[in-house]
Amino acid sequence: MNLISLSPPGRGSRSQVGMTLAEVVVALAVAVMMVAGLLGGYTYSTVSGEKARLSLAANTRALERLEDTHAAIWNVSGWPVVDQLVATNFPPKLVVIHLAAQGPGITYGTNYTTISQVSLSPQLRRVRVDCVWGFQSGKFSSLSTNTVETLRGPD
Amino acid sequence: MKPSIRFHAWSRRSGELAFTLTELMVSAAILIFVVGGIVTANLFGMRMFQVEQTKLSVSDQARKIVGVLMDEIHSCETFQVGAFTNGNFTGLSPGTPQLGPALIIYPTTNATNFVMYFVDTSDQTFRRATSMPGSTRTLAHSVTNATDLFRAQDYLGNLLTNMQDNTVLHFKLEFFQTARFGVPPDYYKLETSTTRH
Repeated sequence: MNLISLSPPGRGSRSQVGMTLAEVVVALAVAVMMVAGLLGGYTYSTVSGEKARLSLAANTRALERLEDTHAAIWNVSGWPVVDQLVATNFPPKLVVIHLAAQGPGITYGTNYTTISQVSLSPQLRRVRVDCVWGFQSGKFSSLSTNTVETLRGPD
Repeated sequence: MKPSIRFHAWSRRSGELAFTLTELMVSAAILIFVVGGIVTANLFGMRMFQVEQTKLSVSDQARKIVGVLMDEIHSCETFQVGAFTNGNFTGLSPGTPQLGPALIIYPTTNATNFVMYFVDTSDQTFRRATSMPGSTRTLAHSVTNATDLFRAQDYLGNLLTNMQDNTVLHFKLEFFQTARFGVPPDYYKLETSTTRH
């Protein structure tokens, strides 16, 4: 009779017939890491979505300040010259960034407006609004800035 | 003679040709842990997805509202803040604070052609309508600030009592999203300004 043995190669001695405790622990650790990775991925995705949402709101608030500067009169063709488009008229302003008031609570930001002369002939100014806001997720917090910028000539 | 095949289960001794009950129980327990973990992770993910889907769809809706409103104000001939009662828009009188729940935008000098935004107080919805009959659309539900959505102000943010050429229209929408798909209710606020160019 021909016997064919299908014993797995490379096994240890007779005293190592099952899985050792170390093997079980390693297997469990791998499984836990896999599940933790999945959960971490979901959590990261949620936090990213939240941050994107707040970024959109911050951008809207920055645009709001830019629109304010559009409404400032800058008339150099009449006399006296009217020039409301100066930085002192647009000091830093605290704004509410949040779209949602649930979770970490209200998120605030600050609009910083910078007005600089680009050219004198023709007259041209650059208006830049930086909306700086804080994002907090658990113990992790960071500052983000949304910037909008435009060029403007006299009325 | 046909060859016979003998399976040596994982190099066991002749007296241990199968798994013991303990080994089976341990294996089953590990399998249950792993499967339970994966199922929990997936359920958690689905829950997160629902929460995010709700919030992002609201953000998307808000972006659309702001985008359209800003475009319409940028390109309009004139606009007026007022109130909406019994299906009619009533503009605020000159000399009174220009703060109200409705806005009418005239894209041209033709007064019969308009776009209107208002809060329907009967169901607290924020709506957009045009001069074309049957064009009313609901943009947001459960609006909580039904009296001060639109505000005419100057470039410094001061409330105006008369409309000017460089009036800034400040728009603030606060609404409530009811609980759905197990996602708890939430409160949203959308605020921006725009001016004619």
